[in-house]
Amino acid sequence: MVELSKSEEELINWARTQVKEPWLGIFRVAEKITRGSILTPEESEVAIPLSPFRADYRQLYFLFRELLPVFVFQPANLFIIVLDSEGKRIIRAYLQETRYSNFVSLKNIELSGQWGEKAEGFIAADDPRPLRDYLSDCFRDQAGEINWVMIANIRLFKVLKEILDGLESNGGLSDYLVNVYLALKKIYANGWISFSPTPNILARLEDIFRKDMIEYRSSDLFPQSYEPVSKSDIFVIVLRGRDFTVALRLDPRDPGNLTVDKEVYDRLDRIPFRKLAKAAARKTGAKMAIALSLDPVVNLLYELVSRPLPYGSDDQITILRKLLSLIKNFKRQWTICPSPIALKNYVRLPARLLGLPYDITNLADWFLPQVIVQGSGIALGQHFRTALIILEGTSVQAVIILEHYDGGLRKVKTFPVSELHPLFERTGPGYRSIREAVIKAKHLIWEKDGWISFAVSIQKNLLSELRSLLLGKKLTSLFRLPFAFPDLVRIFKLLRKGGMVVYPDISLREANKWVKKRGRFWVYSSLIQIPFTRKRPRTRGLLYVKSTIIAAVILGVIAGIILRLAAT
Amino acid sequence: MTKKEKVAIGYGNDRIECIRRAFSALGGIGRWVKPGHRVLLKPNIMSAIGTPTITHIDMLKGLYLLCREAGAKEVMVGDNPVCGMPARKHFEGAGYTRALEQIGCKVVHFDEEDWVYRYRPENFCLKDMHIPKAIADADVWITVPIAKTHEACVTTLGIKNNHGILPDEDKARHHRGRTEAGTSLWEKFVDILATCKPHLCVTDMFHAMEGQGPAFGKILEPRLVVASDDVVACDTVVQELMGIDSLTEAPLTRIAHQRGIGLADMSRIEVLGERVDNHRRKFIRAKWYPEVDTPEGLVVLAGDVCHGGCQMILRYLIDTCHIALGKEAREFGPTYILCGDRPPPPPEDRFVLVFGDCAIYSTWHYRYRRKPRKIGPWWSPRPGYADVPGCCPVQLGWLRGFANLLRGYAPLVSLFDGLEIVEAERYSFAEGVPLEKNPRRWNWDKEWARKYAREIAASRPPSYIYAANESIKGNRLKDGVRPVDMDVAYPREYSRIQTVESYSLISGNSKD
Repeated sequence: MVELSKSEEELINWARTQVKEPWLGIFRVAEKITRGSILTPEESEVAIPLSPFRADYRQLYFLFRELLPVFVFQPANLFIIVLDSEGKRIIRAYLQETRYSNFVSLKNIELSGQWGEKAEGFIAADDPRPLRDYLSDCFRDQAGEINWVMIANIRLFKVLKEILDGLESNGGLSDYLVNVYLALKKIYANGWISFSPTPNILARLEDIFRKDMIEYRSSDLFPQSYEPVSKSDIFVIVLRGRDFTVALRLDPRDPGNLTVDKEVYDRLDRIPFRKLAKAAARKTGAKMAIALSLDPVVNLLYELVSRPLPYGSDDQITILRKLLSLIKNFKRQWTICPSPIALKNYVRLPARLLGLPYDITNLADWFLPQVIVQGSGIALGQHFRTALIILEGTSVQAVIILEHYDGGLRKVKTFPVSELHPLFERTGPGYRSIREAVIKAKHLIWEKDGWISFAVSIQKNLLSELRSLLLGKKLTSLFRLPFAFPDLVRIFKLLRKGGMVVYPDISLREANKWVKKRGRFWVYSSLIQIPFTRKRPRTRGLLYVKSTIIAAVILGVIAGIILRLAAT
Repeated sequence: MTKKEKVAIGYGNDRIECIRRAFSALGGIGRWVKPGHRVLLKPNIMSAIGTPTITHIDMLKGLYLLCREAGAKEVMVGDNPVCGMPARKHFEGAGYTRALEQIGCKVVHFDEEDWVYRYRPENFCLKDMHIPKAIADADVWITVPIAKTHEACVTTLGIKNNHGILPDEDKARHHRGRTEAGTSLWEKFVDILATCKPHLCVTDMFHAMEGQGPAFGKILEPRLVVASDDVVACDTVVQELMGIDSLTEAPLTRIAHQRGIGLADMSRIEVLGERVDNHRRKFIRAKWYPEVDTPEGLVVLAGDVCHGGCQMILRYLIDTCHIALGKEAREFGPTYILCGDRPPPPPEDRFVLVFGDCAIYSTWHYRYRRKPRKIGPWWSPRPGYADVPGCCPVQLGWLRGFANLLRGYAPLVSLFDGLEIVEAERYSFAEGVPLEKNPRRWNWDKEWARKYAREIAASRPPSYIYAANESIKGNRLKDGVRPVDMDVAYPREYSRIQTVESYSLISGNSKD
């Protein structure tokens, strides 16, 4: 064994108990599931190490089986090297053996012998490929080919300890995410972890942190942080794989608990896909449930993690195409309960008769990505910075600056709220005064941080109203629709009073003037035809006669019903 | 040979830093801007969206700071970017007006101010023009272009940026690009430079555009600013950084060099600051001909088309609408665009867009015009063909025609119908300008045009479009000669070419 300092010894002991043992436990249970053994009640639920989440073991197993090859690697032999604080000496080494993608064992590797010195030479030269080949040669008789090599600095464990300490001090989910962000920033700034070859997710994290794509300072946000999840509603996501179903329950009152009752979970397995979301919502008592077929989701996630960041325009077109293809396959690849009124047939067919032929299964997924990506380049430019100012009344809650380059998001950063606070404090009520404050804020940010192309201010209560309307049940049924009107009136009033202000807004004002001049119905009915594929009309034959007769019959029937009702 | 002109390149993390480095290499802006001077900056604000389409505001801020440090009394920013569009809308749309006023710059919208007449008989085609009074009164005026490729001129830099100092009436003149008729788009830009030369050229190459410039290309980030007091030399160095040869490929610098207005010979330019070799990169050129590389859904049938007129505007149409056209093609079939004099007939007699006066009147007898004007179901008929009149169809007039064609079937494009445009009858790219003096009656007198359409179509295109000497007319498509390869006539030979329909107060050459 190598001589360690006291702090290094403490970290190694901590890592053994808090990182190694829990993960070994997960692997052992996974092995049991692979063999088809029945799990004990203690083994049915697992706390995911270094996170506030708890999940069902079986669900976690299936999810890992599908997602691990996409995000990380196909399970294979992994050689783990732990370096000292200076990153030069190997202080620990482990070999994780895998057979047929299943965990077999985790062995401690003795550091005596020449292999350590030579490996340190490769590490110092920063040459991962020869190191991997060399380790394969050294340990071939023990485990075969070494497919992956992980090199971690012992200081990595200190950072992980800080995350766990943050969890134990009862911080919320947002605090946990901030701690993870800060930890990753430190790890990548110092190069405390490396993988060879680099798995997709780590390559993306490298892109984010090495290119400074996120610049966040907790001091830039106002003390009352924005909480995105409603406190009272439960959501369920059901994922149907080839031979399994996984259900994840999101309850804002207990955000770490993703488990679903085993009874419910077993029943969901037997329900056909089209009825899955409804069944999940009913059985779990959730406000909303969404069922997804896992294969297209995995396909989409692969596209997201395998492409370097920031995404170029071609990458965005491919990703959007896959996303829209998923959306297009409503009821075949995804369902939702309760389903929005716009997707219901009894609304869609009359709308079609009125000249609004929208059908989600006819979504032009072959065309829309280009429109979105190239159209936004033409309309917004290829390099622009947007400042999002979130207000609560006249108090600035957060300022987020988004930088776009070549259509992709290049950077997200925060701006000190205290700098803008005086500008909005003195604003009176009304759209114009908020607009003036937004213009001044835009110029102030220009002075301190660089030119802002668009400044957008949004009131927090507008966001809450929109969220409760969209996630509520009022837009899911014709009978409940009238109850949504007061919400809509409130939202429009908020907008008129400056709920959302965009500057420069001359293009929007010109567009609004033109829409009024042309007629809103004509414009919206024209716009609604764009995202959907239309069939080529024939220009000869009896087609139009037939369509005219059908339309006349339908209208005649409707007129007849109305007259009869009026007569009685 | 002794080095004659100096051009400085500044490199840095932001534009203001780059400008400072470039001017410190040149010896400071104080060599040109003296205490008490009034300085005018002329950027390229051709649209409301940001870089790399328009000059970044940090360039203006950086120059403003330098000028103030040099003791300038007033710094103004002015432009008249796009023919038919108010300059005010561009500045406000980009958010520049309030921002510039806040730092202390005065914003001048040239189209709202007075003009000063200038006459220079040595010019090739644009012998007289109007320039803004603000430029005439300024002690120093600095052109601040942004580095972009261009469909008609290969690049749009300092020389091309000067086009924005003219009023719309002068902009419309000599834009068609018929050298044999004594009119040339490229010569015109050099004429403007010869008449009103800026004191400094500071090119924003922090972000640049390659591909389908000047509006639809791809962004690059060289992080450079190039400055010089010789506009031509400055453009030459920028083109060198873009991988373009200024004497053989780029027409504007070639013509300006040949005329002796500036230096486009790299061997005679001293580059200060950064080295060109460290930053050179081959930019993708803009596609030139509309009938080549047309996107899916569009078939362009071009006859003899003016390269600075219908060809350039048609290229804009393709670049703007190509996304929508692909959808329309898949759903309804391709759209055929006829442009130029005597284009090939379309294979189908439906969804034909006839672009420009030459195409309208030379295809009057084509078969598609005998088909019903409306096709499709009774509740949403679509025109079988649509004419877009004009010589050439100006600005967004082509969108209106296109929208008419696709009404009811192509909502994406027909939404453009309501945009404000300048009517094709009022501003023609022919040499004649105002309505009363425009001899091309077919532009504004529809009855006359209808009455004599067959006679016009039966004969050659009106002979008064071209020079009196028909033997030098040439046919670009027949000979396969590209405009960029054509020899440029030297000033001493200009007198041999009779400019027809030239609107000139002095020569009185207008025909009523």
